[in-house]
Amino acid sequence: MWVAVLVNFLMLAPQLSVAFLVLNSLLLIIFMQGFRYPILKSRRLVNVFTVVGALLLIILSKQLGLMLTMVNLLVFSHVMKLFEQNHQRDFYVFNLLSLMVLATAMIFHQSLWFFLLFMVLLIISLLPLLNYQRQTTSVGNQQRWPSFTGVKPYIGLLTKLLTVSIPLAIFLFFIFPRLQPFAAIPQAKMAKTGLSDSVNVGDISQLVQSNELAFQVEFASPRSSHQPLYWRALVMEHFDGSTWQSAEHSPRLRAIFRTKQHYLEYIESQEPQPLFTGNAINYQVFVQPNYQQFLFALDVARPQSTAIQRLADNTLIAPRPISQKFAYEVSSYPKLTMSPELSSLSNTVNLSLPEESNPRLRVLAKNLVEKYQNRPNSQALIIDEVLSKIRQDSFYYTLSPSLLTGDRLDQFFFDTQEGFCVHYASSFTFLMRAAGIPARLVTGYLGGDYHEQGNFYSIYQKDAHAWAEVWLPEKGWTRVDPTAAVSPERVEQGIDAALAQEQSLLNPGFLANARWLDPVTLLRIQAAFELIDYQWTKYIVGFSSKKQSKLLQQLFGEQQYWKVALAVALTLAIIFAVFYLIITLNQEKKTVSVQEKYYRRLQQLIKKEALPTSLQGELDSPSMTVRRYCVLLSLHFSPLEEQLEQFYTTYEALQYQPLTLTQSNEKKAQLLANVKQIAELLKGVRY
Amino acid sequence: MGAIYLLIMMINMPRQLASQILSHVNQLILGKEHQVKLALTCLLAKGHLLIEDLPGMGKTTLAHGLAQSLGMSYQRIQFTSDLLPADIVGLSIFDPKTQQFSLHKGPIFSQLLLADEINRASPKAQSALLEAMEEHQVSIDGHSHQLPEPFFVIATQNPVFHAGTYPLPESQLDRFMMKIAIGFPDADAEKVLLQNSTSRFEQPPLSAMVDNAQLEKMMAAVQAVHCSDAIIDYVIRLCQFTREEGFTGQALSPRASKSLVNSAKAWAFIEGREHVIPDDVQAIFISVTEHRIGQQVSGQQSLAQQVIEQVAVVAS
Amino acid sequence: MKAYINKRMLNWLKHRIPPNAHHQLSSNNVFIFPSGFGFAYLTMVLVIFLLGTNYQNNIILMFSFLLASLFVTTMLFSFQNLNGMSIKLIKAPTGFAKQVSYLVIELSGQNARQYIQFHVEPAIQHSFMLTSENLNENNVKIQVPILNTRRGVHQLSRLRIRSTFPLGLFNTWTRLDLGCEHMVYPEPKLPMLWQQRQYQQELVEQGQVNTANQMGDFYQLENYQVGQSLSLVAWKQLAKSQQWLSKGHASAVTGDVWLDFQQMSAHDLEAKLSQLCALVIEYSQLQQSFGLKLPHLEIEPSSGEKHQIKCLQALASM
Repeated sequence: MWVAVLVNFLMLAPQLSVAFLVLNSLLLIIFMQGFRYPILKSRRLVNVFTVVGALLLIILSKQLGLMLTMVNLLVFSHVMKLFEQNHQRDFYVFNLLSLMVLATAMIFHQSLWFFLLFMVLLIISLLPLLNYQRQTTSVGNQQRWPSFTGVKPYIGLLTKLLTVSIPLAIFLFFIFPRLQPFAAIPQAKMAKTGLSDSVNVGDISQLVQSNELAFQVEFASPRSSHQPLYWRALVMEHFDGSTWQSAEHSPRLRAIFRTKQHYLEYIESQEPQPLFTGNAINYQVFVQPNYQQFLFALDVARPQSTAIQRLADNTLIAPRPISQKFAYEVSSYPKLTMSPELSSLSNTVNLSLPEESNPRLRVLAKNLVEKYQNRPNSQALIIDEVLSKIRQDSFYYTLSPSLLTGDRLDQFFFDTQEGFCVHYASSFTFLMRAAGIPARLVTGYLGGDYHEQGNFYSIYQKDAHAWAEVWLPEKGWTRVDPTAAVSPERVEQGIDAALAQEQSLLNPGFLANARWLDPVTLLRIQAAFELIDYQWTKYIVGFSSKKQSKLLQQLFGEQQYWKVALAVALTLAIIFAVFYLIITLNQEKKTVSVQEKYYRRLQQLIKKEALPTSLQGELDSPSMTVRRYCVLLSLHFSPLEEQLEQFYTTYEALQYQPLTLTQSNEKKAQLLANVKQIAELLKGVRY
Repeated sequence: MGAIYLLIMMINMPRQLASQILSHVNQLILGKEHQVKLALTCLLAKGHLLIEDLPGMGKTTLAHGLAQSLGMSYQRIQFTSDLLPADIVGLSIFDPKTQQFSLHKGPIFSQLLLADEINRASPKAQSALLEAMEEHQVSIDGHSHQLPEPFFVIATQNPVFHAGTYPLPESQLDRFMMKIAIGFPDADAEKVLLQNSTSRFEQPPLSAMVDNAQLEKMMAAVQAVHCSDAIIDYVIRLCQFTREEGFTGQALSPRASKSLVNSAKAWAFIEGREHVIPDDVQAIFISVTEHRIGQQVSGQQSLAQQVIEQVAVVAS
Repeated sequence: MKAYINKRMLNWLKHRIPPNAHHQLSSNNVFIFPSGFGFAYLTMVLVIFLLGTNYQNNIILMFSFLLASLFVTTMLFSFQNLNGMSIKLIKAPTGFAKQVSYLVIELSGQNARQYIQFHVEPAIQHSFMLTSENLNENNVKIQVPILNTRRGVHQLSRLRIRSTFPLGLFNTWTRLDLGCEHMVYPEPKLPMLWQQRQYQQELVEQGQVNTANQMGDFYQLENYQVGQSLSLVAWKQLAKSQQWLSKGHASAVTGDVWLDFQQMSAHDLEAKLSQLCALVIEYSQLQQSFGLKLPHLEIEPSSGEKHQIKCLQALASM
């Protein structure tokens, strides 16, 4: 029993506060030691712990938020229930709590591997229920150390039970109608992962070392072009000299717009919005939980899932922070221009620079502006000039650049000249703004690993990227990636190629420890695992009510609930029927021969007749032989005499004579005909 | 066509013989068709027969009639309390003429031995007979002598509670395949009996219906009767029932179950079937098992009857 | 109300499961219904389903569906735990009042069966429920304890066979009428006089009592036995030594003692029967021949186990 608690408790350990981790571990240790020292289980000590737990919970509740408080409470009460096992009811409550704890753990973990783990945990959680039967029979040793050998057959039985249950569960999963969420749900206050909503010059690098999956994408049709995939996530328009943030963080705008949404709604009202015509790329994205709201899409994105909102800066946001795997569909229109006209506010925001910072870059910008002042297309020329400068100077792409202080961008651009995407994108944007071209920083992901078998792309945290967007008249917001100038491999082949020399920095995958495998096999295995997990994500985790109705439509034509209900009922009926058949067949196979079956049918026929009780009693006696049965009957039903005589001779031949196969088949047919005849005649006798 | 008919005739011949013998003996003992049939069944199954009834019920007449109709050499021993084993098996006598011991065969050297009132003899004499029944040979002065084949014993005994009887021990009762009681004749039969009141000696001797070869053919035919697994299982269930805890009588021995099968075959043969059906087993069950199981002291229903009624014919 | 429902239920059961010494469990006579825990479990499944719905979490939904179908599967497995089992009456319970007697049944069937509880209704205490852990073998004999409450020959009430295996979500049970009698003999209570006698016997053994032959046709003085005619009492000896002795005839050694209902010292019927019962046991232990006289029945003197049982049965069915 405590094993069940322990594993469940460990499953939720990352969600628990430290205080409760300690408290619960302590309680578990006490419980186990209690087998030896009963004093530890004294009522008083348990009460003390209850009070301590409750107080801790009250103190921590503000900090934890509703959701995590509930989780903590749940696990704590589960552990405490171990100590309170006085009645059968306590035991059952304990087991129900086990299930609840498991379900709660599923809020936080959704991959296939975790699900399989949960199944194992479910078996462990149900074990006490099976074991209970044993404990109640052997009174007095309820608190024994469980031995594995005693439990082993139960594990087998539970596995069998679960396996048998799975088909129905899957069926229900796809067919059972989904309800809309009906209450505001408390969300866990969890550390955000992945991209952050502000970029410090010299940040992102810790992301690059992470092999963790960020999201997966499946395109509806194969991609024709091999353009690099720039997954936009966040647009940052405010720069304070060291950090990029979204526009409303600037001191002047903060007073006017409380949130990003406010600001962007205003911009939306000022700028014409794209009309979304022309060729579109359709794809579906499966995001890993990251506790952030922003989503990922290619330019220019139009959400196809209703819950998702498109903002004026052409980014997408989810209704709530993504705390569990989330799937959405998007169409992207790569040919469309973003914001062909720029609102004055947007213009101002995207030209503003922190005063008196980075003088050297400002000078460079001024020179460039002067150089191309009277040329048509001067803006494009300036951009080219900067990019070629980056390309030609001794810039160097590295994930471990030297530290920057003061006018960081100046330092980077003119002195150290080593850095990664953020450095290049920031300096470039700064230069553009200084040169009077509206520009902004965009973060997101670049590229992705293509899985051929699964036809999907996996984008990892290490693919995080930052680039710039400049606003050009008529072209609107245009993507410029200065990193491509210094390290084209980063853009074309992905981060792994760019970091060929810095391989050691990479966080090895979970199988990397398996040294005996050669790297190619290793990769293949990893890919296979990823494929399975992706399918899981796609079909199970990403299954929505929309997909369900689509599936139902495919299955039953137009969606009609009575048809679905009928299907459910039918399936249940079939399951029961199959089970019943198996049972009866199992029983009959061993004992009942054909002749015996017909004899029983005859007996049933006769039972329906109103016979004198003495006769019926005699007929029912176990020592009744078929012959005597028939003879007795023919005394009562004289018209049947001939048929009955034929019946018993045929029966006896089948049962007691050595027959060839053809003979016995003949006799069986004869016996059946005989029974039918008798049934007919009996009807005649009745009327 | 004729050949096939002949073949059928040949197969059926022993059966016809059986029914002929039955009707033959039935002329002798009136109104006891069932008992006669059981007795014949026992002999055809190569078993020894024990007839238990009050004196004067026709035990000896039945044995006599059977022996005569079957054409067997026939001897009769009246068992008394002073009967010695040598009186049954015979002895070696010194012949002064030849100066040699010559074997003087006892009455047991016959095909059918009628041991009248067997429970009047001392246990010693009883066991001499019973040994011969089992072994089909006797030893006189250390030499064993084969008994003629076939060898049957029909023993009669008075009910145990009669004065001056030595009841047969259970182990010896087991050697008899069947025990039958003849019972009082019904009024009609008795009337006929009284009308032609002639003693056994005045009756014309029954002519033999079969010779030895035919008898052997009949017995071979009995052995050839098909006994299916279903029947064997039924017999086993019957025997198992008596071996269970809580059953008050004696458990049936494997010899008993073998006797059950053999006599069921013989019964089926007489009934004119080539296979055994449960009804056959039930017909002979009480006769075969009652003396082995024992009787309930004060019960209305015999234990063997209870066994029959409680054991299901078809395994459930 | 409850009694009425119970009565209706039993009536219905009489048709549904008629009395028989042999029962084969099948869907015809096995009942199955979710236990309290089963309903709680279903509620919990619903809660988990709502949790999943609210969080739009397919894993939790899948989990709740899995638990729901586990419920269905468990129902089938629970049923299977009893289904196909055949129960045969081996020995009807017989015993003395206020003592425990045993109903012996034999179980057979092909499946492995676990944690099946047997008790004869109504089970007053937990200790009268017998739970068998593993019934893997065929033809297992089981003794179900029954507390004998009232003297008499009762119809044995229904045998309840119950199981909550495997998960306790379902109660699977059947109530079988084995159609046998529950014979309860009276509770043995020795009469006072008898206890005195035993004391006397000890004295005899110690050689303190003169048992010499005094009269011609008596061959010895015996200890007076309850039930013996008072005319047999050796009054002289009684007056002399306060010993209850009787003048024994030669034939009286094998002892035709009559235990007479009328002569019992107790006042009410049950107490008298109790005394008779105790005496029957005592005499049987002494292997002495005795007869029994009841108001409507007389059993000839005899001895032995069968005779004892016959007498006890007579007492029980009074």
